[in-house]
Amino acid sequence: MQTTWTDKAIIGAIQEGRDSRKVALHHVFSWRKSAINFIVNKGGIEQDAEEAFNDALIAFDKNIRLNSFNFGSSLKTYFMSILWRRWMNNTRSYKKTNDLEEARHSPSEDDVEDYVISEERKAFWQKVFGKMGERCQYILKLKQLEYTGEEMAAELGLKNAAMAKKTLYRCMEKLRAFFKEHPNMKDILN
Amino acid sequence: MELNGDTYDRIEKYVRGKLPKAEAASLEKEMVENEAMREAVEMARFEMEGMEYLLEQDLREQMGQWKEAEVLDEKENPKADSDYGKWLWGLFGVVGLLLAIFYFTNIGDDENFAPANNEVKQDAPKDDRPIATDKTTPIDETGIPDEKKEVAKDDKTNLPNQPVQKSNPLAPEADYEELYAYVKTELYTSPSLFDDNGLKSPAKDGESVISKGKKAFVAGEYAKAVKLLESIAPKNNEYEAAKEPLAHAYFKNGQFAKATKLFKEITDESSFLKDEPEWYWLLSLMADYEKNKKEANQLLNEIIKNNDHQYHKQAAILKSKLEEIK
Repeated sequence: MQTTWTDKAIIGAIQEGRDSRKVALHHVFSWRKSAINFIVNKGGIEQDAEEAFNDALIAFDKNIRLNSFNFGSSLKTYFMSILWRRWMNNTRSYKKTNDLEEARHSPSEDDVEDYVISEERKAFWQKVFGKMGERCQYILKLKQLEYTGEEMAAELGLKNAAMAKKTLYRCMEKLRAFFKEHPNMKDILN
Repeated sequence: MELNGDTYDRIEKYVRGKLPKAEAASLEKEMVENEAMREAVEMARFEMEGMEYLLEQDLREQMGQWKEAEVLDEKENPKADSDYGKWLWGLFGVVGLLLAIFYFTNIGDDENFAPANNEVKQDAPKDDRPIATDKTTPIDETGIPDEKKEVAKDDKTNLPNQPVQKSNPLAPEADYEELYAYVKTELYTSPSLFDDNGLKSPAKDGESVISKGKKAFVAGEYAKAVKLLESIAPKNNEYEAAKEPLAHAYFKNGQFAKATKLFKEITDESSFLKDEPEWYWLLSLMADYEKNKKEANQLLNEIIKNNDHQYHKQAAILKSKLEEIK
């Protein structure tokens, strides 16, 4: 089905969180070439532009789902502002490679608009979810996309919403237990 | 204080930014007073970050697949880009031709296209040209037909002792002050690049010049903002990023010619994000409409014709306002 991708349509589809979110993000992904050209024309290299674009799309998706976009500009302009800041921050970090202390306190980590999880925190999460298994990972993704109990049950092949919620509860408990058993992780996350 | 199901629901909404402001403020107050509440919010943030990590990994994988699909598609349709390029050039050619026709058919149109002062000398006809043979052409007491008068607006050899003639001498003088006030106070709004709350704090030592310039803008110190942002040299890495805030500072400081020039430059440089700078370019022209009538009208009509333009609606309202004033 052909969709007219107005700003409202894109936002609605992403916030809906089901298949429409991926379709909308695929549409936004089609801005990739122009976005890369934009960075290259500003003096950036293509590889950095690609990386910044991927980071920007991650941040864009999260900000739209969590209502961080205040309609002060068009969606494309908003996306490009995220892209620009990601590229600027990445370029700054690149010049200070291996300086974890600098990266931890870099402006991007405090900025809601273009927040992307740092490498250190990613390594932590990789460890956590590696221990939790794919089923828990899947249901946690569905929870974050605000699927209802019935929808989760349908996705996981469970009998009903109550079983889905029970499964979700057990996965959340595993997550919390990991956090409590590894208090030093708080330092990484703060 | 015991945390119950409702509390956890509130906390979840809070970390997702979905709690109304008043309730969020109340929850934050509870966090100050209640350690259990603070820990619960901390845990909720932790959980959310973990789940966002999973979505991020998912999306990165998906992006990889989309990119691969693009590469395959390009291999199967290798001429797609050159076809696109040809189409684009063809479109430019057609648009250029239409603009030329539009321009030439509207020279001498009294109502909409009175030429700007600086174009007069190029367009002024020679003195030995015959006066219009069209007997219906209205001629006022100066004995000069309208179509000669409008191009001779500043040509003193034609009208050495005559007052400057308007395009239609019988029409009352348009009061553009109302238009200027409308453009500057109602149509112009600060763009999102000045929305960062950090810009409201005082400038600090060691802060970038752009940041200082933007802070001066947000504080209403437009002349200072112009001075700061103008000081960034072209060789400076921040030069490109400073253009847009500088253009806005020019506008708010009343330097509309400079604002026009810079917004036009930004528009021309924007490969696909043209709408916003183009709108501000129009506003800069409109803020000094008497000098920029032709260019302003042209740009206004272009934006109105483009239904997909982000400022299409505002442009239509502006045109109505302009018609009212005329």
